[in-house]
Amino acid sequence: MNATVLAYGFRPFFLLAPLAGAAAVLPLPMIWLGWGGMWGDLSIGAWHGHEQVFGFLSAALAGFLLTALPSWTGATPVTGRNLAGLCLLWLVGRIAFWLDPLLPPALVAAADILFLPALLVAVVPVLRRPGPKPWEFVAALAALAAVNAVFHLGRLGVVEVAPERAATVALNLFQVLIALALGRILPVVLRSAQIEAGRAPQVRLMPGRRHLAVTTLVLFTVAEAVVPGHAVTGWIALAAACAQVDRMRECHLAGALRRPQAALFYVAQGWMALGLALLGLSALGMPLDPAAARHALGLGAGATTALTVMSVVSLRHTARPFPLPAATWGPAALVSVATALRVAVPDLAPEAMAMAGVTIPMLLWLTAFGLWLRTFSPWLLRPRVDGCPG
Amino acid sequence: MNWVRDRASRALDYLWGGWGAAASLLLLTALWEAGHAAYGTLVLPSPRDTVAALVRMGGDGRLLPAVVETTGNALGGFVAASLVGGVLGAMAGASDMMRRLLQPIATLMLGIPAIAWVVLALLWFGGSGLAASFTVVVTTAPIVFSGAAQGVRTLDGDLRRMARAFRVPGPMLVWDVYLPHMLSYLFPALASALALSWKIAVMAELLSGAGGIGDGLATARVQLDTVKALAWVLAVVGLLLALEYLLLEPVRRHLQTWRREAQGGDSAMTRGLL
Repeated sequence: MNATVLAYGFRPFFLLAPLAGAAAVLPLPMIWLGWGGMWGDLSIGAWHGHEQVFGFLSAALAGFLLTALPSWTGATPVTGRNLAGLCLLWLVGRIAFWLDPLLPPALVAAADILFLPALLVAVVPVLRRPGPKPWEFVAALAALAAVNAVFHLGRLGVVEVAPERAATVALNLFQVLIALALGRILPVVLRSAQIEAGRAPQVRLMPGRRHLAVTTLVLFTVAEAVVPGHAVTGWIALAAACAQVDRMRECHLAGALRRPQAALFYVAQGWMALGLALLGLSALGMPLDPAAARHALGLGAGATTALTVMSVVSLRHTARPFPLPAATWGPAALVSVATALRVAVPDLAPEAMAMAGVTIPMLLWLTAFGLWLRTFSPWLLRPRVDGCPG
Repeated sequence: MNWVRDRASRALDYLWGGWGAAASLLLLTALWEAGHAAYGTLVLPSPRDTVAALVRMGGDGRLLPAVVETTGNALGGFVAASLVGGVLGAMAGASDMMRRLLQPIATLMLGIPAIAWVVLALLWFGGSGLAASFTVVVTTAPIVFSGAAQGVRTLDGDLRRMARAFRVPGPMLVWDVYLPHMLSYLFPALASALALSWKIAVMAELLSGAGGIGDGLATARVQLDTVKALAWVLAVVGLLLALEYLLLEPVRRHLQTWRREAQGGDSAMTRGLL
């Protein structure tokens, strides 16, 4: 890796995240073409869930935290050798998971379990900076690291938790992280969106809305960890869905939703609300596929937010001015179409699952990340346009 | 055009606030479900069973007549209480003598528990809807009385003198000077009286057996049918929520327009309902 790639946290991780996202869907057609449903002793579902959450989304999260936290608090960013070390730890986990059928599970666990604690160690120094401390991100990251440990301990039989359940809790934690991150990002992007739309910026967000959205998501995450599929969890999921829709009001500002930096977050929140609502209704006894609903959370909310955050951060931290390039809309639109298929087909046309529910969404997903990398990888590989470090 | 857009944006703001309210109520439902899981159907039926019972009652044709009857009792009492309380209150606000005469009586009436009025009303009127309406009148009229008296008494004398100096015509004086000020005191009193009148009506019906939601509750109690009892409670709660969010809150927001406009700027964006 050259020096520019290691100049700031977002650069390597935003290059790796799309690759991990693409890699994590490749074995999926195996199940649907009838070539078997296992990857080693893990079900393909658990393997795919783990890789999307702890591979793809975690890489995007690492890039975001390693860039945003230092820039909010003025802490020294992790760069150079330390950043290369973090990337290596992440990569070792991915390689181990790819070779999972060949390696003993304990070795895979040892290889995969180190990255998130290392990331935690790397970001903890921001808490020592004066001023408001982003402890909520650090706490969520610590919880995520713990859940990954539970995934592996469950797989090794040390604790009685199915790995799939740990993966769902991790996905729910990511919804909390998205809601938290939006609290920081939305004021900035809404302002820029209004200016771009030629309106006077008038962003005054009420903290109550976002706190309700985050609190209900935390309750939902805890409920799903403790009593998954219970009616109580169902009602909490519905409450969380309503709180997310309530929060979408934040984006109803003149002109803002015509710009991608605001509209795409709005879409992501919509997917999150839909996924929560479907999970809630399924827990309350409606015949809906919970796995499909979780794709509204992971593929819809998770990937749309990741793509948008990656685009905005890459733009701002390579010193480029808004507007975002057209390449922001395209991949996000493909991801939304993929989500719509993956969420709707299992419930509406289960017989078309292999093609319309898995293969086509997978191709759309791969195309989306290809398009994104085509525009953004040169930005990530070359120095800032203003010549400053970072 | 701008006016229309402003109204539309405010209406959307209001309706969107319903999502936040729904989140809160759904969390309460989750708590209810947890109570059901812990204590069983006999103590606390599940929310879904309760809603199913409510729907069944609606299908049997028992729900709507009961709701209409309770609403009639409550509204009849409320209208009478508003007239009596409003007129007497205005008199008490305008005249010191009337205030000295009526205030202690209102205080006394407020102090008598509603349940005592129910017993008296049953003795006087027997087990009929009239007993419920009467109880509503005597318990809510003092509340309206206080609001009206406060409103009239605190009318700004300087404002009145200025209006007179500019020879403001009488109807305009009442409509643009007195009424807006009065309403800021009277409306909260009317709102709490209206909400209270439903609860009082249900209570009176429960004891009198004169039909309505209260009667249904009494029957469910006798039959030890917790599901049905809770379904009736849900019916009352539904009525109260509909009253609050479809009638009172929109009126409240309309009346408070001046407050919003006084702040200036993009107030519709920042003043959420909930």
